[in-house]
Amino acid sequence: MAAARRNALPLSLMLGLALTGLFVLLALVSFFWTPYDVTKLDVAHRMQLPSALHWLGTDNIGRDILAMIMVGTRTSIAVALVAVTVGVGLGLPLGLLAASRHGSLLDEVVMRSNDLIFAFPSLVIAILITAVFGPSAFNAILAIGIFNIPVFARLSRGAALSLWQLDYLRFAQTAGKGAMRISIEHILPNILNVLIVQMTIQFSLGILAESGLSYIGLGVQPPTPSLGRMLADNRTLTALAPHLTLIPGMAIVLIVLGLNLLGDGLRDLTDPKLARQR
Amino acid sequence: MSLLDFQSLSVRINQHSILSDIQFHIEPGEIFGLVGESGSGKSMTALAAMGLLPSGSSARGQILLNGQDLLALPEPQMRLQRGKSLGMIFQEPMTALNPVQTIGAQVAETLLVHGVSSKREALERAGDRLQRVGLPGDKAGLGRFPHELSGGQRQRVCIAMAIALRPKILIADEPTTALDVSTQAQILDLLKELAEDEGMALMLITHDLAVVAQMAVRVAVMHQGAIVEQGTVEQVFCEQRHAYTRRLFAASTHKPARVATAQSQAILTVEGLSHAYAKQLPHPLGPRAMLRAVDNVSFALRQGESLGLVGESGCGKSTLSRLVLGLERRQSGRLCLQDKVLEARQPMDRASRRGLQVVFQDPAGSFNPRHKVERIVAEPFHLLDQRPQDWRQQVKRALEAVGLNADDRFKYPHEFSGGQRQRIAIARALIIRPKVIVLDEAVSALDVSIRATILDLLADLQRDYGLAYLFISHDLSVVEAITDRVMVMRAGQIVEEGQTQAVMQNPQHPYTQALLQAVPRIPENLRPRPEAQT
Repeated sequence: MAAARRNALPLSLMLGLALTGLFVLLALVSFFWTPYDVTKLDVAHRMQLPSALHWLGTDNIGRDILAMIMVGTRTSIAVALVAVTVGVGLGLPLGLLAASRHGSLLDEVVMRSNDLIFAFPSLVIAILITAVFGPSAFNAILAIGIFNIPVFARLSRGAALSLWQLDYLRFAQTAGKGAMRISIEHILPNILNVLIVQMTIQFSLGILAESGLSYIGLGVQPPTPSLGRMLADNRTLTALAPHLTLIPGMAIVLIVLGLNLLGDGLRDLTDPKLARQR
Repeated sequence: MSLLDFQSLSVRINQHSILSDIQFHIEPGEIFGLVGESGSGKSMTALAAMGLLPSGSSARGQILLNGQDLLALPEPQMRLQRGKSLGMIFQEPMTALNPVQTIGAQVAETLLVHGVSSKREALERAGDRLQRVGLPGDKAGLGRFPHELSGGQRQRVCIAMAIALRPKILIADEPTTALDVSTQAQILDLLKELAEDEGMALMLITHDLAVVAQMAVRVAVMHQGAIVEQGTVEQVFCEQRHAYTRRLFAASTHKPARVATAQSQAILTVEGLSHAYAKQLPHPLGPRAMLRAVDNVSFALRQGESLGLVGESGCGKSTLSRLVLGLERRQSGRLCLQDKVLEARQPMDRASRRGLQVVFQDPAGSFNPRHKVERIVAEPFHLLDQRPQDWRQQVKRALEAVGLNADDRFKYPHEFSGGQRQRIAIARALIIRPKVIVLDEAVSALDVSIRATILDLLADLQRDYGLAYLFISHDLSVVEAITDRVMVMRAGQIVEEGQTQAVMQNPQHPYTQALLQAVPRIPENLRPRPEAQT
């Protein structure tokens, strides 16, 4: 059992890295080069199956699917990445601060505001925000990012609280270090592994959320392609040309799978207890 | 025929030899002691008998229970033996019970699993067993949850579970190590009584020679997975034929050679220190009760002096140490360090902190696992305005002063043993040359032989650097060995204070007397004979 897990560990990391790396590479390449212009319509060659000319075929108005996937991935990754950054950037300091002042008014205020955000179903609020402020990439980021804040605040507070009980933090206090310095020097490195795992999970959830918002037309707007809208645009044609929905669907699945595998692998790597076994 | 007979038992885990050629037997109704330090294989021997060896281990040899080889039994039949013929209790009564089940249900479960009774009957018998171990066995007693009980009471519940089916042998793995001395004495009495009344054999695993001397008839000494010596308690204690046995005995009664360095000038003065915690509300509108953890405590620690603070768990000694260290803001009282009055309202200033350092109990939780020793030991330099130019040299010297290698500074804490880690903790406390070091249960988690070397080190450092120690411990024998004066604490108050020798030999307060009474000691007639010490 233990031996099997040890052998599987690099595998999940490598598979995750490979999948995530592939999509990140696709997204990066799309900045410089796409096989065709994603806004170019070619109605004469619409709904083609994959061929040498169009590697993944064309959609119902003749746009190249590979080009759309590349740019769509870029959009998804960018939205999810910024949303996670917003969540970590605000949630982590809030969580660490709350933990260092455990039981204070500040702790209460931070945690109860988190509860407030948690009390609403995230996608409904995301729809509300994009509906009120208008559908755009920025508002999608805002909507997804807000829900990442309490996730990271609560996680880092909980992990930090258990560390605050340990003697080396007491010792750091007797060495005259303040709560902020202790948080950065002693707590952050020791909760990094849980944070990284949560980041990859939130990242994949962000990609799913972005796809969902785009699917109902509240994400990035045309002509910028998005994986979610590719699904929506072609859903009536599934019987005629299944590859039109299969390909973007598979792309979403593989990105999310890759991120989850990466998270697992990274957690195992950063956990010193597991590292010692190897 | 013996009740339990270990015949050349060897255990390997992943190619590492854990036990080699273990050979001893236990007679019906006998109390057998198994003594050794951590890692000697005592627990593994017990687990082998219970058929609970960790996965990946392989055992050879035989463990005969009434002539039947337990190692050869398939798991379903072994399960029948557990509880019915073999009972076991563990060191940590805090984690041995299921927190969401009543204790009655947990004791009854053993009976039900073995199909000896209906649920109702099982509860009845559980009540009976709880009464047997000195707990109320009525309906209210059965309905209590583990968190409502003290450590000693929980250990009693564990014993009740283990003896529910009247096993022929009870294996007790360090049953009193996590308990206070007075509770320990009660639990040991209970175990002895049970063995006598029920004709049950007891295999008592412990690191404490005095406990064995009080309890056992025969004893085996384990070292590095092998039994180095066994025989009657008298034989083993008086003759001490094996070199390791002699080392173990010497270490357990070790007293470091100390020179009195105490001066008349007080360096740390505490006056009327009090601190209370709010208790949990009985109900939302109930009155807020306060627990006076530290209640009007005053004392003075002199330069170069070693002052002991003893007391049982919950007496407030940890709170006191936190208040002195400025880790918690005190509610009232005066604290004066090196003639400087420390303000209660402000955090302790860095200059004062420089004079006051600490060594904690837990060698595992004392260090950030992601920092190397060099960084760990250098942490107190934060108290200086800037790190000295030669800080690396100073870290090297501090490590050498506590008996470690200078090159150890590039290692991580998990690469060290418990004793070495405690040396690192001492080096860290020493590096800015404080005047006072608070030693909060600093040697409590260590084995006797390692404890002896650490006590020696502390005595040497005190002599060399003129340190004053506030030595907090629950262990009276350690306090006796290392301190000049001692304070006895109970329920937040200092009940007795005086020269260590005087207090130990002639305690005045009834609580101190009871405490000293409860400490297990090796009786005079079990001391080594002169000819054995050649």
